[in-house]
Amino acid sequence: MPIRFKRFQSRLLIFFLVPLLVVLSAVFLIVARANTRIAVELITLDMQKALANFEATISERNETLAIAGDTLSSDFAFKNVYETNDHLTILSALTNLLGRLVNADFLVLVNDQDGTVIADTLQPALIGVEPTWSNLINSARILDRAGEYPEAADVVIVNGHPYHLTVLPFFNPELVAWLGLGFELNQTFTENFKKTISADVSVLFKDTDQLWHINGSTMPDSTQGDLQSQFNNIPNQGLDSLLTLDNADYVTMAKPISQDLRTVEIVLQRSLKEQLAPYEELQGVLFTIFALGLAILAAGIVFISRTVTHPLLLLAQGARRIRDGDYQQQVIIAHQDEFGELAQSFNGMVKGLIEKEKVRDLLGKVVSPQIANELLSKNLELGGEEIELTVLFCDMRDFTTLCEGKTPQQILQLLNEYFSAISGVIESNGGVVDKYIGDAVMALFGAPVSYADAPSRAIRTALTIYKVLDEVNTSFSSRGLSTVTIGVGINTDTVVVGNVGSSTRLNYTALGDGVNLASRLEELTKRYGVNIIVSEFTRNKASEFLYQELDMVRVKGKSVPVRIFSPLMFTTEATLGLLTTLDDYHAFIRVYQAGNFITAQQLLDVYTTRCQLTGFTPNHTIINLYRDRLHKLQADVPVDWDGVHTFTHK
Amino acid sequence: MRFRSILFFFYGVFSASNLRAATLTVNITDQNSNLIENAVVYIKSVNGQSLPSTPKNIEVDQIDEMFVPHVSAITIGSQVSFPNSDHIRHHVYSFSEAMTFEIPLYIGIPAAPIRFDHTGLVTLGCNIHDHMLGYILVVDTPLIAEVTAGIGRFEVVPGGELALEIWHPLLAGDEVLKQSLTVTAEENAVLHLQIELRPERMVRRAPRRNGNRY
Repeated sequence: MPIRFKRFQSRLLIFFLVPLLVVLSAVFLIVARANTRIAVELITLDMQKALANFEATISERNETLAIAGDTLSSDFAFKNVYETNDHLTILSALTNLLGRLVNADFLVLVNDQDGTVIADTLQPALIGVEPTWSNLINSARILDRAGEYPEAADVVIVNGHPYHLTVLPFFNPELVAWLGLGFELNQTFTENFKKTISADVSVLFKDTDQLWHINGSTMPDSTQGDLQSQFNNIPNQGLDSLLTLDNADYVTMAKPISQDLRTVEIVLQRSLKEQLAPYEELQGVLFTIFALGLAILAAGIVFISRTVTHPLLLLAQGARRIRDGDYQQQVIIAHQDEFGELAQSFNGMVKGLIEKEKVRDLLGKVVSPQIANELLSKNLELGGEEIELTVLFCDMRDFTTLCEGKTPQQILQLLNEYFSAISGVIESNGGVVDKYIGDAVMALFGAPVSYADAPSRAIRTALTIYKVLDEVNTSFSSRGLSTVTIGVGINTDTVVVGNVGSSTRLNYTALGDGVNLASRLEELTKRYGVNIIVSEFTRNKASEFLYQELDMVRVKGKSVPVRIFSPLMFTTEATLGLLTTLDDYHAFIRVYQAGNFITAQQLLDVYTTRCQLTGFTPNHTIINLYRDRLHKLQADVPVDWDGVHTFTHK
Repeated sequence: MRFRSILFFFYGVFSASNLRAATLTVNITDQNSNLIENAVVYIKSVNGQSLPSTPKNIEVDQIDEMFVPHVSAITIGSQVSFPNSDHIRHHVYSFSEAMTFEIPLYIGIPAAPIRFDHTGLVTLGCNIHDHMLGYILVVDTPLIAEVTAGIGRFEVVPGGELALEIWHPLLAGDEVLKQSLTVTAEENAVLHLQIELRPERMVRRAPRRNGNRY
């Protein structure tokens, strides 16, 4: 699943820091491992040198002892002592010599003939028995028989401890005995040897029960138990080169130092941790550098991302302000780079939008907002389309009276006040003010925005206009102005809607007979004494209203008759009395239109009587119109009566 | 052990005659068929009878920090003088059972010779020069041949069974090899002996110019 970032800064941080962190971690680990490997190699190399040093040290001490032994062999006094065959005297002489030797811990003399001990300073009581290390004498004898100087040296166990023992011939003047000079590989030895190398030294030996013991060690006391245990549990493949003693790692090198392998071993060890200390310090520095590098990079990323996101946020804020209709504030980005250029372009765009909005606003004022939108959203081109439309005409009847004694500015102000109120009602019902024609308003319902209930909207608008008109008139009255009356005509028909005019000057409007009829119907309102007249086409599509049928007319310029109605209110609002009264009226109309004028006259009387009875105020204009018309018709009954009243003038 | 050291012997007779005296030549080689030096061959008895011997005085000189001759054989009761021909002093001594003595540091000819009254090997040493080693074999027979270039000669009466004894410093210790034979009435008889010797023992000396101490 792809990671979604809410912030550009986070994206940059992740993109740069994570790979860098991975790379740095890998470098850190590789360096750490390399350091450990190098440390082990260095220690191992050092220890190999130390082992060579050990052999050289032993060889040097051996040489010293050999020279001392040779000196003793050449000592004529000692030759005389030897010839005494007196154990105590010989032992005393050996002890005396031992006092002069720095590097020897004991001297021993063994008879060549029978191989038994003559005198031993380490074990003074020992006499007449073969030493445990008689093999060393045999080695010397082998050399002697081979014509080589019979001198042998080895690390052997004497009296339960490991000693380096050098065996030399004692001539008197022929080879008569073997002189042994030994020094113990003990604590003192390991401490002295440690001074010459850079490692800890331990000497371990195996006792007769095959158990290893430490005879001397410079290792910390806490590790010696572990070291001894490791030796007593040595696996077949030998001791590991890295031993863990007392929870610390030691690079270890063990070497058997006796010819009898695996009896005495010298063990050189160095703490890996101590060796790694400088590396660890280096790693610490490396870590700090890495951390600082990452921190600087992170800070750089934050800084860079802000230089990107800050202008973007400013631009986004600017875009939001424009969305909310605030075109006043410019986006200011003091950059000379692409962002500065972008801000300039943005501000240029805003300027364009301001101008466009001005045009839209102006257009909205000149034409209705819907038409303005329609005009702005499409390419402006001449032509239109045939659609069913409901056209409303609203005309002021007493405009001339209103204008009396007013300046043109005052008239314009009053007219604007009136139009604002009327237009507000029209627009609130989804209608579109098509144009103002003098003191008249032409409104469209169903174009450019299409509504299925356009006829109802138009009637509802007309009914509301009268309520609003009351408020306007109240306002006018309060200012001492004369009130105004209006008439509304509504018709629904298929008409042509579109842009009419020239390619340089357009007018979005509706054209057709249907439009003209609406205008004619408005003109008829005064004649029938009603506020609103709708055609039967409108009435048939808005059945929720209660209508009073006015007539069947043939307006001027029209041959087709049309039934006209005056919408009174929503049917649901009508009282029973009104409905009954209206029924009487409509009975009259039916009979009238059927041409039965006498009955019609009677029914008209019934209606007027009914009005008196129900308290319903009848439309006297209509009553008088029909009484007058019946009077004439009864006097001169037309032969081609079709129930239609034809208007020959407006 | 003793006889094993005689690897083989061969007895040959050349130029037969009726003379009373005969010459017995003992020809000794080592295990590598090299003619050996410093061996002593003596006839211990003839037909089981010891022979009366007369003392004979000899000199064992010290030349260039060496005993010359390196090996001597004397009859019992003989006296040995140890002149010092070097320009430095020597301190000749012996801790051998046959004769223990010492002549403290001296130069030239010592005051008196040393008389050897017991049979056996006397190993000579110098107190101040460990590498100086010499041998005097004291025997109680007059028939002694000091072997030079592998050859030792005796004048013997033919017909008797001879008990020969052979000694060399490189035989182990004071070991003596024994060999019996009878020389027939012939003028010349040759006894070929091959014996096994150990290598010469290396003795430490003061370091020489080439660094060698042996």
